[in-house]
Amino acid sequence: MKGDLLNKFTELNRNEIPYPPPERIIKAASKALTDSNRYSKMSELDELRSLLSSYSKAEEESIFIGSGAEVLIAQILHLFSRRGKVVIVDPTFFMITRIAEDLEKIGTKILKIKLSEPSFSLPVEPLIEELKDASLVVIDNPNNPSGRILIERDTAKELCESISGLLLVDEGYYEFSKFTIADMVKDYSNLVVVRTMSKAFGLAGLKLGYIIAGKDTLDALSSLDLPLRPTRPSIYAAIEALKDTTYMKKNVELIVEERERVRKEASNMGVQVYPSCTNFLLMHTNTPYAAKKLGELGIIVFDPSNQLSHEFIRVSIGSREENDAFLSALRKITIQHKL
Amino acid sequence: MKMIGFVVNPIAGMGGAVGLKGTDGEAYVEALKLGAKPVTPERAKQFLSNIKNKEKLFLLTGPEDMGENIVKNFDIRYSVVGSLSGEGTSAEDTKKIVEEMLRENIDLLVFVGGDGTARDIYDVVDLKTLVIGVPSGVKMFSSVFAVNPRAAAEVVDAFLEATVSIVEREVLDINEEAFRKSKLDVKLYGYLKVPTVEGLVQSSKEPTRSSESSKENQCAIAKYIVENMDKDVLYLIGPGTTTRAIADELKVKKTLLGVDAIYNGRLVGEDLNEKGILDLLEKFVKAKIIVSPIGGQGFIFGRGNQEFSPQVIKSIGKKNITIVATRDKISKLSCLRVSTGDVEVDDALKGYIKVVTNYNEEVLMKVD
Repeated sequence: MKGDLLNKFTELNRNEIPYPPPERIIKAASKALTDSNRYSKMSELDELRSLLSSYSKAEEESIFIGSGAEVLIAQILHLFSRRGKVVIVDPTFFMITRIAEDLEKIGTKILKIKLSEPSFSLPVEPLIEELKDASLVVIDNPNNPSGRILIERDTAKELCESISGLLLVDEGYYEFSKFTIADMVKDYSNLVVVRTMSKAFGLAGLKLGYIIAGKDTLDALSSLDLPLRPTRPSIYAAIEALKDTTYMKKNVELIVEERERVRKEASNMGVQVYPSCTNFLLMHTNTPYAAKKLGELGIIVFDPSNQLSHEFIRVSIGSREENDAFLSALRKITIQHKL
Repeated sequence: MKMIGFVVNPIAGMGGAVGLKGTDGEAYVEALKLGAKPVTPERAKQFLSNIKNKEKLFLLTGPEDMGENIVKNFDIRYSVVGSLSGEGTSAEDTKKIVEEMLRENIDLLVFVGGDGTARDIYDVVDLKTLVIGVPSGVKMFSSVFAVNPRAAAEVVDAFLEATVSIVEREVLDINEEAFRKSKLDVKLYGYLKVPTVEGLVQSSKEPTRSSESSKENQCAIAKYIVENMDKDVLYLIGPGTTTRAIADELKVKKTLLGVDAIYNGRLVGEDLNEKGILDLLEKFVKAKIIVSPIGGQGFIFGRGNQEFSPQVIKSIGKKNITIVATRDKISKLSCLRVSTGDVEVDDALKGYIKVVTNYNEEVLMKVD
């Protein structure tokens, strides 16, 4: 098995989980495919919204569903930056950076708050000083690529109270971190939480995300309800997934167990591995151009060199076999560099 | 008890404030003519006064200005080795003194100097000897230096407590003659074994990439800076290719590795030394500095731009300092650094500062 894996590329660069969804979810999506000459119905979307409401412990009225968290983040950035000042953290989810940098061309000012190494913590005080004239602040929590929680509830409260615009929090890895501020939406109309079913629920290929936010934000998004609506197979699969979340919890359990194994083994090699509450690990390898070198050995990891130095890699936690293949390649490049 | 060799290059760093980019060879005489003052004694004192475990070490030091004159004022056990070959000091003196220290089986060699001194030491030590540099030169592009004298003292304390990591670090030096003619010719001489503690020992200088995207990035930064320049303000523009792009945008000729002054879009000072800057500050009421950090190291002051002396920085003030850097350069830095030689000025510069990284884009980052 290991040999087979090493003979082809092992992709550990997109934070997907390695387990396919249960048969009942595949069947539900297939059922929708048979009717794919029809658009999805409002009633189907309502059923999904109701299930998401129970799952997230949020009011149905505060949920907006879209075709993936990325597209929802992009829409919020475009709608609410208002050619004002957008504050993001650095490093952050590369898509947030890319969209924000695009907005510069239409007159939006971007301020990146550099996370403080070595812990990658958020410097809260200087951030708050910058909020008064900010239209939008975007924070991924947990942060990607560091894997750590950047804002706790007290900080979130302070930020919501200081900012003149919106605070957008990307909780894409909530199921792994088990930390959320989504319930604070009812107290802060300027708080927007984005989540996804691409990670722990294992539906990355179906692209379904949702927003939990106050009325004003959702009103601003209302005209985009149709264009952003997910496909019917996505809606059907998500409904089925939410009916019984046992498999998702099992996915998380397996990934966390593997994550800690990979963390320990990589640390034993002398690689600096950052603590993570997600399904990926950030590593400082001490090997120049580490991602490229791993790629040459057939292991594709995320190369964060646009935001960090080229010794860093971000590796998604895969199956045990995939992780073993990664560890084997990591060992090779670490030894080569020491020689 | 550890035996530590401590050698000081008394002329290192003297070319900085007078705009000579170094004191290798005959430049030292020129530096003296221009009124340069020694900088190493102060750096050496800062280093020694910050060592906490003085009772755990015995210093072997060079004679007179090569260590003895400074060490004797501290409550540290020491002996002097070697002698000076004539009036003044030379690279040969440094090498001979270090060779004597090696014969005494020192556990660690601490030197106070710059890249030239590091090179002299590299010529006589091998990879068995541990070496750490107290930064006191003009350029200091090598990664064998602590980030400042206080950090060097912390590394020595960590060494005495056996909590350092030992790594091989690069000795780099540049051709000073080419440097004075605005050409950056960096050469790798070799490696020294350096005790390190995370965050206390600097990285090597990395050149700014000259790719198309980096050039576009520099042009965008320049456009943003020029559009936001205030009228009737003197702009003192530091060395580097990113700052040169600003001058290009203004259609003004820039000294690549020196400090130039621009007022209302006009060049009013070229390749200025500290005195030249201070003279201009007398004349112009409002002044701002624009600098770019050293790639891979993050120093905004104290490496390669000592023309911006503590007095100049104090006079201009932190709020009038603009930092510019390409996205690529910033992505490789965890923080910015300062090492002006004046602890008060360094402390005043610390905290958070914005760096212009593109048109309409800034990064808020820590000065450590």
